[in-house]
Amino acid sequence: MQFGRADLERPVHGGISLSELKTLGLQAEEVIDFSANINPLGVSPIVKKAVTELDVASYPDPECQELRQALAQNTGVATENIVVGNGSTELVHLVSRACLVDGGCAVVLTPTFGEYELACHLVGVAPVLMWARDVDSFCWNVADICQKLTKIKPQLVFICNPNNPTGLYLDKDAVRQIARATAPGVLVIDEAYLPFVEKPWDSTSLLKMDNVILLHSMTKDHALAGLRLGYALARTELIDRLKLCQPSWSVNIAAQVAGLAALADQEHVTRARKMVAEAKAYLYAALLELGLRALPSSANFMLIKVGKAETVRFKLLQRGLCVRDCASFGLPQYIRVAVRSLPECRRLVAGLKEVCCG
Amino acid sequence: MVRWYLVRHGRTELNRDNRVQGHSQTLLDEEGLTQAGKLRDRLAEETFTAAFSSDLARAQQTAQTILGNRRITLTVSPDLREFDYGLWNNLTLAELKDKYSDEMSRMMNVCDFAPPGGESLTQLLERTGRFLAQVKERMTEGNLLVVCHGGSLRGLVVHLLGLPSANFWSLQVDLASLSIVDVYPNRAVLVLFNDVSHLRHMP
Repeated sequence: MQFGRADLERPVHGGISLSELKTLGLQAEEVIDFSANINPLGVSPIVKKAVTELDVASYPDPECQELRQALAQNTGVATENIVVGNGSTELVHLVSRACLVDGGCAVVLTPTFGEYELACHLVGVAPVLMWARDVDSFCWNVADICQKLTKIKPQLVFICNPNNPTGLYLDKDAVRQIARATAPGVLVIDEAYLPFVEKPWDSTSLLKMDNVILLHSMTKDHALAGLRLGYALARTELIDRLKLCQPSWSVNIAAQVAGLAALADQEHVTRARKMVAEAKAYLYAALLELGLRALPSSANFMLIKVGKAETVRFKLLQRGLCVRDCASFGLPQYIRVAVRSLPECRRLVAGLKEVCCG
Repeated sequence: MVRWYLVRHGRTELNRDNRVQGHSQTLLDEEGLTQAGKLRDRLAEETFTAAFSSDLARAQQTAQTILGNRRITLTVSPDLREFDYGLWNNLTLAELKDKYSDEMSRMMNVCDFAPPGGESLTQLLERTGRFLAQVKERMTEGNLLVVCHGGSLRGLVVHLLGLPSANFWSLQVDLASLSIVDVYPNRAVLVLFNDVSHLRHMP
């Protein structure tokens, strides 16, 4: 008896590994986590309060009606065009299940978040990877990609914008061209890091294009990673297909309540965005000063070329600084660091100076 | 029909040294003054109904030289300024490539990308588009002189011809060059582009 694909592996993600800390004799509290790209202010006090007053004995609303209404107000998109998921990662898997058939064709614009590729493999599709090259500063050649898409006619294309881990934020024209070249296939635009972009363009206007799904995470901007919460925006037929693939009560009651409270406290995200912008400007200038290659980023993280990332990550961890080794993105010479508060970024720069420039 | 005469300013010392100028206030150097004179000779026979210039000195100086003693007001507009390169201003191209190659590559690939402290292509296109709309509203006939910069001139051409924004980087505009676009109510026609034949006999 065969249990699915034996050659598949779970993608690697950021975050602190407690077992690794134990071997190093470190306590989690002593380590600053630059490996997960989460709101540096943490969770809003309003959300914290809402979650502590929960009644967990009843079922969560399987339709997430109240949260969808609040999201509709927030995004200007109608409730029937919104589905809520157990983190946007669940939605990635739902999309591949809803839009792909075994033997079909999918495309992932890489280097990027590992979960898209796995989601395709799990429905029997080995996605075509279209790479942005290091020599091009990880900018995709949009014209070339569009030409290829028109030729291979994929059912599904994944793009992360702004992209994890490169921080590249494509402009509206470019994304619209990619959406056109993908049609009638579906283009998923993962906007998990959009709330940290200083001057974002309005992506909801792309929903007019019929074949576009926008994915949003609430775990990064509102720091709800432990609760899992995200949503997708698309035309009704696509949303209904996603809902059909979703297990009932997938979004738990704590996540729904927290989501509602978070939406009522947008000020919290605005504050974080300002803080990130300031710390990012510092980090960027300081790294340049150290002679390290830091890629410009529109998001709340930055890609830094360090040589052997695995070694640099380990040495930084010994100093209580946890960064993301980008080997699993196919970039073994790079680390990715989340932008945290200014004092924390200063500690990171001091650490990098010791490890990389000593 | 309105005939647009689009001119890039003459050389400055920063141009001579291959430095990025952006919004820096610079004046024409000796060669720049000669170039402006050649432009004046080239356009001596033309009658202009209106004349516009960027408010940066190097463009105004070029425009005034071309206009000579014509009785026409030169209207200056900050919307016609050069690309604002922020922290990159005054750096040489070699320094830029050495220090900011990733940022330059992002800038040429992403219309919304702005260099540190500077503006994005989207922003430049926004202001050149605003200038264009204002002029189009006022003028339906005549010859128009516009003196500006490499960036803003390319922005105007992209708008006038309705090119995709990304084509901005596919246009080359040399110092003291002349380009001509005829603008009809429903169409614009590129008549001449980046012509520097008037500079041919310069040392």
